[in-house]
Amino acid sequence: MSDDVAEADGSSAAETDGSSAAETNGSGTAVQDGAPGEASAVDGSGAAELTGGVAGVEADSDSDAETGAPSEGVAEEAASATTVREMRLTPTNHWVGIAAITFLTAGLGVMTRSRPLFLAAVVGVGYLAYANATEAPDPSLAVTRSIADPDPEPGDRVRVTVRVTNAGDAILPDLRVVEQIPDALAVVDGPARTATALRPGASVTFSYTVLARRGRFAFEGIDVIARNVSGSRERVLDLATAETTLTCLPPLDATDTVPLQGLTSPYTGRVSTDSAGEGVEFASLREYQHGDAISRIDWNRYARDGALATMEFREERMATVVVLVELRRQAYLQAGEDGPHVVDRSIDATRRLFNSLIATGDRVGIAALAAADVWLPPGAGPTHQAEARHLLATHPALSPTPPSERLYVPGYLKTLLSRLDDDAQVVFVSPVPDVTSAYVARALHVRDHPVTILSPDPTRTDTPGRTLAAAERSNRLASLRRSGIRVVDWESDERLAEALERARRRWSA
Amino acid sequence: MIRRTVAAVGAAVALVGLVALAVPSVTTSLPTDDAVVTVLAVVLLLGAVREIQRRRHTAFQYAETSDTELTLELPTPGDEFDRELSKVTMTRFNQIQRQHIRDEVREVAVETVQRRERCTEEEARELIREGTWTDDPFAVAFFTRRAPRISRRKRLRELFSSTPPFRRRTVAAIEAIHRLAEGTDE
Repeated sequence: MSDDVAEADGSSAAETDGSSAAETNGSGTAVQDGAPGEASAVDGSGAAELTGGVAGVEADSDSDAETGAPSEGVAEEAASATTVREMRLTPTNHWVGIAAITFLTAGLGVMTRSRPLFLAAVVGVGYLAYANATEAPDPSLAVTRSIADPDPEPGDRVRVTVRVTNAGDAILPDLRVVEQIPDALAVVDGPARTATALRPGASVTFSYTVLARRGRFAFEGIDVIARNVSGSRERVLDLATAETTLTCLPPLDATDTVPLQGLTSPYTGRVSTDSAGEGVEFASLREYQHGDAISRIDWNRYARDGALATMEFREERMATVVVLVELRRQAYLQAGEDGPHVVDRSIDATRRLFNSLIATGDRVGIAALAAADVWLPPGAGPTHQAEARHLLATHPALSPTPPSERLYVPGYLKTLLSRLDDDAQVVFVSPVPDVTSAYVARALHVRDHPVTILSPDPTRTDTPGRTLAAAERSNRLASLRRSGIRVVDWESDERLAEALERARRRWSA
Repeated sequence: MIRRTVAAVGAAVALVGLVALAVPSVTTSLPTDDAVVTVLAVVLLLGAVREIQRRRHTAFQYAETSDTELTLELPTPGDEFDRELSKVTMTRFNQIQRQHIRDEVREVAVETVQRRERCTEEEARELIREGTWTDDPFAVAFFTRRAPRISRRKRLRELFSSTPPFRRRTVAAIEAIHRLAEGTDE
């Protein structure tokens, strides 16, 4: 229901935006064609109408209970000032050559001794004056940004409203504002930009809708282009605004049971071991010894031949698992242009693995193969789970945009190995994009930390190059399997639970 | 600065003109014979030509705004290879480029053959050199660099095909490797 409201809102905002942009453009061209003397007057009234119109629309949307509240709050609070990060003043060359009219008419007038023709040159002079008399204004803008829901769920459509106010004394006859949206967020509704004219004190509001995804995103700037009346000069600015953040924490959902390897701690848990004792899975029969529990006596056998035998079960122990997620730049891949983002899938899988391992009573930690330090030591309990949830959602190293730093792998391995408990096994979530990932997996495996690789598949087979890369990765995974490492190849259109189930069946076969 | 000076001179001349409207005697001392006027006209027309030329040689430059609404595009493994392969054309022959492509494909082929035939690297290289690793004549020809063993009709068809033979052989080899790697070749 709330989704519907949000959607309806988004579209109405888009319509408003469209019409206001059209109005602005209309008045903009009118100004350029019209007489220069009246330009500012036309502009001013145009701006007044425009802002009036937008304000009216906003008042309409205020009646909407859900989205009205934040924008009302915004209207009351003072708009925050902006600081200039970068500025560039350039000519647009829009009116270059207009003097030709003057020269041509005057020249022809003199040549033919025609006074009217000569006097017509004045028109050209007028245009020249209009084109060159003014400089592009240096806008002083105040920006207020409000996010309808600063803590959305992944996949929610979040409406962002930006109000730009002319806080200076100069009229801004041609102002274009483009929002700086964090790279990872996609706009699903409405352009995140506007074009208008603003007289001092007037403001313009535009809104757009982004699709929320896991992470913490900061909106902290706008790009502005301000032109003079004639459009002959323009000022390009990169303005820093007050920071508004959108934090999207993924839900606490888990996947099916994660198949683990046989390295366990001495505590009771759920991983079956080869040592016989108490448990649920039958292991062997042995001769009855005094003191064995009555419930473990095989009464069928007693009925058959009168001998007492005790059933033994596989002992089930707790495992210590560290989920290592690959975040090197090489892992930032996408399966095709519209395919899923591999690192997003990896982090999503990490979260599900973590939650399901916690639920089955194992001790779980999180590490990332990244230049930035990401380490959550193995633990259990709700506090630990909350900590992990927060880390996975908001740690800057886990952002959907590729990192710029390079990772020194041997140094990283040394640190990781010193952190891992002796009985810790590793679930390595990685697309295995190159031999380095395979090297990391092997290095951990040979140092007695059994490795299970969960590999989201980034490859496609729609072009020769991609097919070759798919074959290369397939070989790489096969070679890892040969060295005793378990590999779950997780295809891009497959659910995690399916991939794990497929792998479990293969391993138990 | 120059603009200002020129503008000031212009304003002064305009003022003189306005004064001349009221007191025509101000301009009587100026030369008005035909030659001077014609020279003036030519100068003005040359000015017009210069302005037209200036327009023709000046491009409009408006600030471009970024595509802020779009998300970051990430690469898919193999895109680099596709770019390289697309540079291969029938008209421009670049031996180093082709050798580079061939080497890259060969490395994957060796690994794949090794994996499927359970042999050493040397044996795998030998199989590829001999051309016995696959049934596809084009894929074989990609590594042996000899003409593929195909019927005359097929060869004729290849001759009139619009794709460069090198590219077709590359694609055939990659597909053969893929079939082998996925185990659908057996």
